[in-house]
Amino acid sequence: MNPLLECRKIRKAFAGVRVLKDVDLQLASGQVLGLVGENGAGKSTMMNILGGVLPADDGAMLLSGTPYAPRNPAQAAAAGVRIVHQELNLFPNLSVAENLFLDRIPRAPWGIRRTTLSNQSREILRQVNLDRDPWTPVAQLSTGERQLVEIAKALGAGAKLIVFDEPTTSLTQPEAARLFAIIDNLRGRGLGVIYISHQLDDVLRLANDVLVLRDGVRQACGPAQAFTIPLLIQQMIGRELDHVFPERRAAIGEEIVLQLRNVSRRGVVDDVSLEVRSGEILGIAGMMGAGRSELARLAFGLDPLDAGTVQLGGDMLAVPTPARTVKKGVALITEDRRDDGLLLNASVDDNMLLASWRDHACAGWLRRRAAKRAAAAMADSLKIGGALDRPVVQLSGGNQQKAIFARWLLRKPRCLILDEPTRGVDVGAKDEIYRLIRRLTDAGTAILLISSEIEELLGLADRVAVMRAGRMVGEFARAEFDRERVLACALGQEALA
Amino acid sequence: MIAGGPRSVVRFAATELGVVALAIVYVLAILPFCPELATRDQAFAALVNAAPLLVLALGQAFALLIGGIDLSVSGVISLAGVVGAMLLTSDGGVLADSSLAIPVALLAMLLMGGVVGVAQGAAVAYWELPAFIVTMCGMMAMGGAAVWLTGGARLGSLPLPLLETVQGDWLRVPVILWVATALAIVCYLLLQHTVLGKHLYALGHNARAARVAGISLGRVTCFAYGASGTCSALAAILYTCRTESATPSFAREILLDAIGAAVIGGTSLSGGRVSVMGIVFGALFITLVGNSLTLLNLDYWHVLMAKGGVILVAALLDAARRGVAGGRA
Repeated sequence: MNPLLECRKIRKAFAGVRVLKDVDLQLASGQVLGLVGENGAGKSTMMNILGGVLPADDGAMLLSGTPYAPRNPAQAAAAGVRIVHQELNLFPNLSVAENLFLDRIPRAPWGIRRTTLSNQSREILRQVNLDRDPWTPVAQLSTGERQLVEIAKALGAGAKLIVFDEPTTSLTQPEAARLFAIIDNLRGRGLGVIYISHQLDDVLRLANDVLVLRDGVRQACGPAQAFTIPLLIQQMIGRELDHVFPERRAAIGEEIVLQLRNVSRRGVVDDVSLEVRSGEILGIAGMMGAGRSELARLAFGLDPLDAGTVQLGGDMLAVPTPARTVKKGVALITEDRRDDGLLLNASVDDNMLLASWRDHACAGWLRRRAAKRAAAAMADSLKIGGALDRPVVQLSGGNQQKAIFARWLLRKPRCLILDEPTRGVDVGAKDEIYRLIRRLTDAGTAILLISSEIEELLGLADRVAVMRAGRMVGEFARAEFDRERVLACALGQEALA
Repeated sequence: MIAGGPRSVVRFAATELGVVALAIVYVLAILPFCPELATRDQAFAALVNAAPLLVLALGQAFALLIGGIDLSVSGVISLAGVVGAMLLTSDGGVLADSSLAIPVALLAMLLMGGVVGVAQGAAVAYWELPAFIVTMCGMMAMGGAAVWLTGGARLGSLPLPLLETVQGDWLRVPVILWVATALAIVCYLLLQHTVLGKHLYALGHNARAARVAGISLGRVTCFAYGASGTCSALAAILYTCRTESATPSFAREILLDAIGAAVIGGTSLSGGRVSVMGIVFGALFITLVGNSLTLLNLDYWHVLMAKGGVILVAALLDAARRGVAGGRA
């Protein structure tokens, strides 16, 4: 059997952090390969390398026996490799037919050959069982139908290999069933399919072979019949502890600092309640898209609530806004440091003082020297080296993150919401951030910690709540912490783990 | 600095000192052709001409600092001027004979500018409309209103005490200069020494981050446009007193001079950077170019061409500086 795609020893590192380590992958024509792994295991990077979005640092790829090294998505598409992304790449204001033939519209001297375009579009849409007028604007289609158009587009362009990235996350049950039928059909016609999903039962049902990635390493690979869901979960986690998490020195307080009651926002968060006491860390686990960051934004007042209430230290906030929650002593560090955190071209100390200028002023008039002194002392205690008047953009990722921590520490927050606080920072800075978090809880700060690293949650949190599809689906006390059970719960497989 | 080659030259040229150097070089270069420029009268004339422009440019700087723009300048000037004149004119003015007429009228003008500005800021912040559109509509609506109120006629016959005060000297320096200087100092202190100033900068650097840090974007935006509107109204007072009448259709070019002065002074059009000193020299420089070319008997359109070139060079320097200073495009 001649493989359709063969990847040998693919390597990739970002800023010195290796995310793919010598990954091998084979796929034969007419086969479906399931690709599974935790968040950050390297699935997306692998897919981006296949799709020509990122170049591999090392390793080789063969497509139908010929070397394959796309430098951009267009080259990948020309070679017959198509990726159906989670967020679909269609133009909603154009018709189905125009989307299908965007780069090769049949032309005539007077313009577009509409009849030819219609007929060819219908022909392709038939292959994915989509019975729609080709001139319907894509905006009028459901998500499921748009996905079919995306697949049809790949087929129309002569794809040999289609990669699906979490294709069922926004599909209804019947839509998903239809998608599986089409994937079966593609397999029958001799195409290769790579199917990436957190829905392990779907993967086991669809795939011929399953490949498990863990921390960028090919952890296991074999025929789907050889796996069960618990077995897959076991392979996905079970990484070694590589951090020592600092022990708490002060007991959890009595006072409930942050309390959410039946909080909802349509489409992202559904009826979530939680409370965090002073000095306590409540961890939130969940897969990508489970609504964790959205929950943090709701609690902080960044997005409007559709229902529910937010209470801070017993005070009800009718309409939470960041200005109000900050005044009540809440702080938020989002996962997006660049856009939600830093004033990139402003100085380090201006960045650190951003939230506390008011505290360093008398009737609006700044006491600049006192403010600078406070910033310098904070920089010192967090070991942010170098001059504080240089632009923050010149700092390393870890130091930028520490500068944002410093911004909130200067306010002595009562409640700190952390969304992926160690994303994109190096190992040393990670440990420092863990110690910092512990220092805060020892001083009585309530912390809501969102992280995709289960290890980080279990190492720091006092309780872990699990979210799935916008809902709170489970909670674990420290005594019951168990990586496999938490992950199984996040994946919706708790009965099996 | 000199050893640093062309990069340092670019960096220097785009700072406040660079604008000063540019102005000096320009004066020295043009002096042989119109020596009158160096006389005391001409020098004062240049400063007095520059003063209202400076007031406008300082106002504009608030909008630019938060990454916006205020195009409503000429509309506010027309409408505030007309409102003030309608209150004051001895030719049937509402308050013509009252002893409080002058302070009330001036206050009304400033208040009108401020309120209009805050309203525009609210539209930008809460309706999330582009500042360009909001203030353009403001310009059209207020310009139209001014003509509608007056039927297009100039309003003159303003009270003499007011004209004499504003056109006169205080301690041998024109009052207009005192006003502009005082405003520049207030703006400097506000931007550098108050919480509000820091919040304005933060909004210009990164509005999303400022919001997450608990800064109320709505209030800060309203303040910025309110400040701009108030400055336009103050400029309206100065222009009205200098020309001794209110014009319902004030020249729109003044907006471009104000933006030009701010940009020459190192204000970034993408927000987050402003320098009061730079704007002072920017306004002076633009005025100098206009005055000297007029003294050389060049026509109005030649002056416009020259100004266009000068502002373009300033914008180029700004772009070059961002490239050099940020290390990234």
